[in-house]
Amino acid sequence: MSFKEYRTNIEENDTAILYLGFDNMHAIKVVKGQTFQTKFGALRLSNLIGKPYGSRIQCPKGYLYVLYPNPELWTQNLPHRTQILYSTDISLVTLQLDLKPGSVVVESGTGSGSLSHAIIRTVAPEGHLYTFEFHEQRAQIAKEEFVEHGVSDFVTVTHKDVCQDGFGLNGIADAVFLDLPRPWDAITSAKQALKKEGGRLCSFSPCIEQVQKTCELLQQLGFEDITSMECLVKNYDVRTINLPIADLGKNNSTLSNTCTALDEKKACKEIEEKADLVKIQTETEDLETKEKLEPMDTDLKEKLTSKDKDKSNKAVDKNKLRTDFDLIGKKEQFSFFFKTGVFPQNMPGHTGYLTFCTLYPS
Amino acid sequence: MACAENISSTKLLSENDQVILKKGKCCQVFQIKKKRFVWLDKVKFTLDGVIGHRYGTTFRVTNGEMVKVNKKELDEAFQSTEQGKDNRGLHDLDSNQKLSRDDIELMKKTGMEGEKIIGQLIENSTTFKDKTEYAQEKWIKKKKKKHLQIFTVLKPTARLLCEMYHGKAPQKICHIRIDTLAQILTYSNVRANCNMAVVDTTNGLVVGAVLERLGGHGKVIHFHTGEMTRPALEAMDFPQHFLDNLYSFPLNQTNQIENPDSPYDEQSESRNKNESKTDRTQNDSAKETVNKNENETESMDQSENEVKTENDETKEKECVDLSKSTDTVETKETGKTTGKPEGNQGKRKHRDRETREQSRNLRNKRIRDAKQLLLQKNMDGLIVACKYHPTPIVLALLDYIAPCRPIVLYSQHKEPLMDCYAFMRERGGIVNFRLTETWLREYQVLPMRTHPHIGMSGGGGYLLTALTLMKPT
Ligand SMILES: C[S@@+](CC[C@H](N)C(=O)[O-])C[C@H]1O[C@@H](n2cnc3c(N)ncnc32)[C@H](O)[C@@H]1O
Repeated sequence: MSFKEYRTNIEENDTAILYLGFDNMHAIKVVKGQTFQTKFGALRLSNLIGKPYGSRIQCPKGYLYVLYPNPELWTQNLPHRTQILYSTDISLVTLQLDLKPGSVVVESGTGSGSLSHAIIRTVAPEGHLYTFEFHEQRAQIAKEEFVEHGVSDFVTVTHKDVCQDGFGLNGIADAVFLDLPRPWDAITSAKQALKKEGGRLCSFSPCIEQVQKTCELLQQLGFEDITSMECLVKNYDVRTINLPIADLGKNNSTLSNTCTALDEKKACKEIEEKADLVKIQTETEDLETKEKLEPMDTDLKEKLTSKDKDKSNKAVDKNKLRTDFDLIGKKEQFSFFFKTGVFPQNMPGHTGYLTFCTLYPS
Repeated sequence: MACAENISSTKLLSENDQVILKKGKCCQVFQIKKKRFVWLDKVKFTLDGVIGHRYGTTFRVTNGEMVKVNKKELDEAFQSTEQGKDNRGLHDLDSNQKLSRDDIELMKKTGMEGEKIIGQLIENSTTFKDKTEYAQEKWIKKKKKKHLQIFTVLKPTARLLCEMYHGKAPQKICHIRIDTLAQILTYSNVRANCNMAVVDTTNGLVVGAVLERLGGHGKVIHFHTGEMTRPALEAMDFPQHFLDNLYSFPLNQTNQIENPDSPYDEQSESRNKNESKTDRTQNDSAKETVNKNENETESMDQSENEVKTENDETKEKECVDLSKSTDTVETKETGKTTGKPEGNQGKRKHRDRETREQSRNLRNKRIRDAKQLLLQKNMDGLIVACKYHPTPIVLALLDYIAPCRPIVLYSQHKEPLMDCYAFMRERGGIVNFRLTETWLREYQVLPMRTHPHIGMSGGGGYLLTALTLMKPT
């Protein structure tokens, strides 16, 4: 196992991810003779050795899957020693800092190594991460993890207070990332670490006052294109919802008749709307799409006119109408079924502000 | 670090390089051609002046040429002494400015420098001196953006191109916003030494971003539809060994991957020659696009009214040139050589003129190679970012992805992804589904005036991500 490449089979001492269900995963080390307790009972880890990753493993009370680790699964399952950066912010940091194989990156603090794993993945094999942490034990554990995960060639962990003593690096970095309580104390040294051809810098701070102070200094030091942003992720749950249809009491006509009349009106209106929509698209889209869409346009119009003609034949048309135009869901006498993405009751509403900027060659 | 060097900023600008000219948040891609005029922001100028400078250098257009500027001097140019306290006495009136639009246009035409124009504007503004210091600053900033022809020259990256397209023509990249592109690249775990299958109708933006993350190690199979225009990919100016790893596969041949008799196979090649007429219309769309392009001149700035005015010859030329360069990628990739002057593509090895047929054979060979790669069923990930309904595409390609690999599906709408989710679950062998949307908010950060930007993008599209498993035996 290594975070820098895929391998097929589980080997002794690999880090692997046990998948028991959505949001129910564990990062484990496959050590001979050890067992791991899951909600499905005990799993003897030596049983995993030699099996392909992605295999289904039977446990006493159910089964699970063993997944090959990647930085995202690691971030989801790593042992927390500090607050960590999650994959949503990590993604934006990686792209905004223009990271790619060969990039040299400076990071502080290392914390739990969540971001570090993602950076290493992207800059290997020619690039390098220099990561700084003033908490000795955190630095030590991170170092060990990088060895265990087969990426120690691409990272240097330094135990150091970067706010007090600086990075001690000169003109080597393409990008700097700061996740520090007082980032402004490290920015001058960060500037020095950047290549003289220029580079990108990012600072992550939970509080707006930190951002304020950081931006002021960045501007003073000649950083440009300073932008601050916030990025949140919303997870949708795909569900089929069944909405009851209200009983509106007795009507002069029968219930089903009222429904049909309404449905038909709505359906006709929808076709009209659609025809309009198609038209608008036709105008804006490129030529190729136009050709495809135009026949559809006339198709719809034909349906429209034929519908008008058929209006007298309500009874015959009833069933056809329903299947054709219950576009969003399915209507039955007492309920309306539809598929939708339901978002969670609670979600993280704030992680931190990301401030990005560029140092151009002087 | 030989590999990184190719796309890093250490290189000096030279002819034929693709560059981004950036002014504030506005970006535009150009290829540097000596003595050729480009149009931007209603000004006509050549790019010769940037040659020999570093990426990241800032230039000013002076007498139709790019001249390096000293940024410090720029900032000191405007220092006002008279300031108001608040805006109680200010009224929004056209008559606040004594100069007419025609006056300003005339100043521009006669080549007056931006600073002087702004100076004139200040002098002729009845309200400027009553504005607060902040308001003056803001006002000058706005005018500077409008009247100073100052551009920073940058190396096109996935980040800059995504921002450029998203700002100007989001429909060309299926409305993928930068945070969404960022998630696509992260969740697909694309990195050096991966072989990726990518379905892309985003003008090559996603394929280009993937190539950037591969850094020349690992292959990409780009499933494309008829139009093989990839201006975004081309703007990234990848070195040849990156492009050698790019295979273009017609999406409409996907169902034929397992068919040994499909038109791209060696046995059937001779047959193809006889059927070349039908073959060309059906499968050889790539080549046709090249021809079509020369007339159609599809390029970013075409959608920009500002950049173009009607019947201007030079502009027309530049436009054609941009679109012509669209086929450069195709050319590089297949080794096909068109009759362009040699100096044009100094970077790549010039090959002898080949016949049409030879080049087609070569392209067919690339398609066969891609097929062979797919048939190993060991691809390291699947990314779908296109304007089509993803379900049939995903179901057709899933079998070629190795176990424990990421699947990342993008759609501008979430309903197609919900459909896809249902079908993938039914198929089985996939776990860890996530249907997500990211939300991005930018901030203005200024002392005592920090707040979110007034405008924000309503949506950047949706993602369905998942991981493949071993096929149950
Ligand atoms: C929030 S954590 C970083 C988490 C990390 N980004 C991750 O994703 O796992 C901040 C870290 O910075 C370290 N730190 C704080 N001040 C520091 C300093 N002056 N020099 C070095 N490290 C410092 C802390 O010990 C802590 O581990």
